[in-house]
Formats: sequence, C-alpha cells, structure tokens
Amino acid sequence: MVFFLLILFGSGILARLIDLQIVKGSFYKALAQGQQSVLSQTAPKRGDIYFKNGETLAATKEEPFLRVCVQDIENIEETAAAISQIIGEEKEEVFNTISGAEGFYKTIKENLSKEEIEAIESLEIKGVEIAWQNKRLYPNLNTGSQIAGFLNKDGEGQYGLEEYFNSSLTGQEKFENKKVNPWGFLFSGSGDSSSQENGLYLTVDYNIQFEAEKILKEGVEKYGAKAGEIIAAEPTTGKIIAMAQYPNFDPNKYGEEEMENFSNKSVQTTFEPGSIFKPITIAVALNEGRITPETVFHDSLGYRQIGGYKVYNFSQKIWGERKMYESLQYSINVGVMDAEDLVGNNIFYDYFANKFKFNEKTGVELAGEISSQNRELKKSLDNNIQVSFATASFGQGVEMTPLQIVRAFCGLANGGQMPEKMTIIEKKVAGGKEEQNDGQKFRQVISKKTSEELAKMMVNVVENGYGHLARIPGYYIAGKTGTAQMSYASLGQDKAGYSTTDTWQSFMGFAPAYSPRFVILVKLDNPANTLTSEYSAVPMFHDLARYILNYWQIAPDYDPDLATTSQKIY
Amino acid sequence: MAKRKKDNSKIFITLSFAVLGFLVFCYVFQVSQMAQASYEIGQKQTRLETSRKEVAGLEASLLQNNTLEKYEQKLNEMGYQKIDRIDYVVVSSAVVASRR
Repeated sequence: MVFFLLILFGSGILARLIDLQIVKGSFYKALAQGQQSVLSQTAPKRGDIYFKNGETLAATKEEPFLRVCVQDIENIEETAAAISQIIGEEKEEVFNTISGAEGFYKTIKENLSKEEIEAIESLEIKGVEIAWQNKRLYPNLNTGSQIAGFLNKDGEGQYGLEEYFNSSLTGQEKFENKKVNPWGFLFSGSGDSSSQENGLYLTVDYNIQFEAEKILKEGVEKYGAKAGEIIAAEPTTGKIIAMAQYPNFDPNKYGEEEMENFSNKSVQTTFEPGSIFKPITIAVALNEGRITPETVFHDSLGYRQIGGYKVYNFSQKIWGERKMYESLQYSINVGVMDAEDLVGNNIFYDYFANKFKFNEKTGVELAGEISSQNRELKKSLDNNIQVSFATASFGQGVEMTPLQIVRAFCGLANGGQMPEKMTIIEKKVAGGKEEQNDGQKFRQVISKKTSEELAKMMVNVVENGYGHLARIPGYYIAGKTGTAQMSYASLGQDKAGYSTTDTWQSFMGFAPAYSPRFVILVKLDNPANTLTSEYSAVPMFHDLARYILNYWQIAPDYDPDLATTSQKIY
Repeated sequence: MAKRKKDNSKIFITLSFAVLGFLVFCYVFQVSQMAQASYEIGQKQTRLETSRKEVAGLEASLLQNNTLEKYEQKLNEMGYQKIDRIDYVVVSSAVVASRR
C-alpha cells in the first residue's frame, strides 16, 4: 500500500515536472527571467570638456546638498537652530527658509564640506537629510568662460560649446538589463558606463589661455579700456590655442553675472579693424604685381581728395615721398589708398569677399557665430563709390569678427594658405568612441612669395616702426598696429558717422615671422588712457608672444646678445 | 518471505525519509547561504555607494583646487619669482662635441 502510494506520489510529481518543464517550460522560463532582471533606464552623464592637455574646463560631478522634508520636521525652531550652527548661517534665515517652504522638499545649502555632512548626519533629526545631485562644475571659474558657456537650470547648454554641442554632450538615454537576486538587490556592477562616455577635447591650451586672460585683464584695467579680446591660433592648422575675453564671468554662478558678458565677442560681434587691415591691402597689391615693397608714393597733403571727401592720415601728418614698406612701418593711410587704387575696386573686392571670405563665417564650433555681409562695400562696388574703397583699404567702413581677421592672417602667415575653417575642437568622444578632428582644408589666397615679402614688411614694422614694443630679442616678430575710430552705431548711438574720441586699439602679429607657429590678435575697446595701440595692445602682444615662445621652447632666430638694438630690414 | 518484504519496505521508507531530510537540509543550507551572500552584497553595495560619493566629492574638490590660479597663489606665497628670459645654448651644426 505504502509502495503504491509512493509510486502514485512519484508519478504525480513526474507529471507536474513534465507540465512545468516541457509543456509550460518557455512560459515559466520567461517569467523567471522577468523576476531575475529589471530593465533599467539610465540617462548618461553629460560629457566633460577638456583643454588640449586634459585639464578640465567643464565636468559633471555628484555633489551633496542639504535638504529638509518640511512635512516630516516635528520642531522647526529646534531644527533650524541645530542646522544653522553647522552650516554657519543665521538661525532666523534657516527658520524662514524652512517655514516658508512650498512643496515637499526644500534645499537649505549646496556645496557642503565633508565635516558639514558628518555633523548633519550625526544630528539624526527626522526630515533633515543629505541628498546628492549631478552638478555642472567649471573648476577654473572665469577662465575660458565664454568658450564654455554654461548649463542652465533646465539642463540646456547656453552659449559657447555647451550650446553648440548640447545634444552630443547630453548623449542618449540607454536601456539595459540589470540582474537582481531573490531578495531584490540589484547587482550594480553590471552596468557598462564607459560605452556611454561623451566629451570634448579642445585645441585650446590651458596655460596659454590662462596667461592670455591674465594679460588681458591687466591690460584692460591699466589702459582704462571698456573691454578686450585676445585670440591666439596656429596658422598652419587653423586651431585656436587661446580665446580670451574681458570682462568674463563665472559659469558656476551665471545667475549672478551680467548677461552682456555671456556672448563670445570674438565670434559674436563685429568691429572695424582699422590699420591692422593694411597688410591685407598691401598683400593684394603685391600679389597682383601692382607694387613692390620699394614702390614710391607721394603724400604732399596728408590726405587724399576723393570726390568731395578728404581722407586723412592719422593726425593729418604729411609724410612726403615714401616707399610702400613705410606705409606699414608708419601706418600711412595715403600709401595703402594708393595701393588699393593701383589694384582696382573689382580685384580688391574679389580678394575681400571671395578669397579672404570676410563676408562668411569661419565655421568655428562655438554657438552664435555671426558674419557681416559688408553690403555698403558691395553697393559701393556696384555704384563705383571710390571713397568706400579708399577707407576700406585701411580697415574703416568694413566690419568683421575678430576671428575672421585672425583667419585671414593665418593665411598671410602660412605661405598664403588660409584655413577654410577655424577650429577649437581637437577630438570628440561620442558614445565612448573617439572622433579626431583632422579635416582641415586650405585656400591659396596669395602666393608664397607674396607671403614672404609681406612678412618682411611686417617685421620692419616691429623692428623700426610703431610696433617696436612687440620686439623680442632673438626672434623676428611680424606685426601691425591698428587704431580705428568707433562708429556711433557700435557705441549704441542712433546716428551716422564716427566718434572722434572712442577707438578700437589692436595689434595683429605672428612669430617666428619666417616660420610662424602662432598668430595673435590683441584688441581693446575704447581705452581711455592711450591714444593709439602702440602703447596699449602692442606691449600686451609682446608679453603673450614671449610667453608662448618660452612655453613652446621655440629656438631663437638669432643670438639675442648680438642684436640688442633694432635691426635694419630695408 | 513476508517478513523480508516488510523489512525491505522499512529500509526503503527509511532511506526515502533520509534522502528527503538530506534534501531539506541542503535546501535550508543553500537558502541560508544565499541570505548571507545577499546581505553581504547589500552591505558592500552600500559601502560602494558611500565610497563612490566620497570619491565624487574628492574629485570635485580636486578639480577646484587643481587650477593655475591656485598654483600661482601658492607659488607667490612660497616666494617663487617668474623668469623673464630663457637662454638657449647655440650649438654649431658642424660640431658634434666640444671641449670647454
């Protein structure tokens, strides 16, 4: 009987096993898999932004903050007293924050120290807790702020790289199966976060950027300027190595900053370059074979009469009989007006718009880049208005962004090969995969011979002309000063014409002149303490150029002890 | 004959219960081991999470302290001076080694 019952029992179990394993096997297998794993949705951490050598410009880090659950607090006064002692705030202030809170949770303090966290946790007050949140951190505060932009409260990138690369830095949400044990513990180690990594590596060198910002801040304050910018770039690659602006802002506290400082003026505002444009006009004339550096011009009046207009030299000085290289050395307007005249308006405009592409954006990977269409110059070409071309020859009446003129000078310095695009991105990391930015193209804007002749003329400006304060013993430095009158429109005034007192003072140069490694533009807006850039932008250029020469350990062109005074070029 | 059959049944039943008991023991032991392992995993995950947060805090703090501005302040405090000029040794291209 017992044996029979055991057989029966065994048969029952066997039948049940067959039912579970074979008949409904796939159903239970799926059911078990569903219980053993959970589908987890993970939002990727926003990609970090690094300088060229890996220093962090922007990063997303988890940060602790103190919050209270208002409904759980039994005695607000006692809680406020305990918290205020730890975080160093007034008891009344904390009390008002808690009692005036709307909603469930109220944040009391962010950026807690380790000691504060430990002290708060040891309180063990119901309703008081340490929570963690992802926070965008800009550890270098103001350094590179207009390059970075910032992340707003909604997690959207604003300005600079944060806006331009918002979607790729944000990344895509990922779904993954995570295993759980029978008690529901999640095996957290199973996620593969590396495959979600996003990030940007810049061409900007942190050390040079820091130095440029320091020189700029000191310069703006010393010369009483309203604002200023410095751009440094490699002419052979079109890579930006520094892009400084002052005033700047702290992206960590963007809510407390002036909104006008958020935009990157190197790409988001235009200016009239003034005399730093003269080398472009001279390059065009040299390239077209209309002049040589030794071509003579006559300035017997200190101005040129064009129709009903008199276009003057700076301070109306009369220079007499001079050679073309002196038109750069002493920044003589009449000389470059003659050069433009010899070239003709059609060819000049062709170089301006189609070769140097001053009406087109540089394509740099920063949000909000603009470009002037310079319609007045085009209109003047169509209607044969010579005076517009006379003033354009020395950089007045034409507008461009600082980065556009830096691109043009990259072309002048780089044997006539101008980068099609200026770039600030060395490489991108998307979904854990690296994408190297190596797609630069060049446009031959002037011949190599013209480039060499122009470099020599610009070295003469530094050795014997108004750029003498840019001189660095041992190195040939090419450069050109620029002091341009500011239009009333650029000063925010609703009238035509130019201010007689407000100026843009700038200096554009490259070094070593005959084998250039970098191009630098220094620009100051309306300096109050200097009349011309000779004593403002030029010494600033000198300081930054010397820093880069030392930092990159660029060997001197000649023994500095053998040439302590300026050298004769012509 | 009948007695022998009865003895066999007894042995069979005893063995069955013994096997059943052994299986129950194994099951309880396994469940106990799983509970212990799960508890340890939970503890370690909590520690891991705490450590991760501490590392995150330290990383943030490191980033904020690892800036040129801070280094410059420190160097100034320590009395370091900025160099003004670097002199390079000029080696004539024809010379491989020279006596000084």
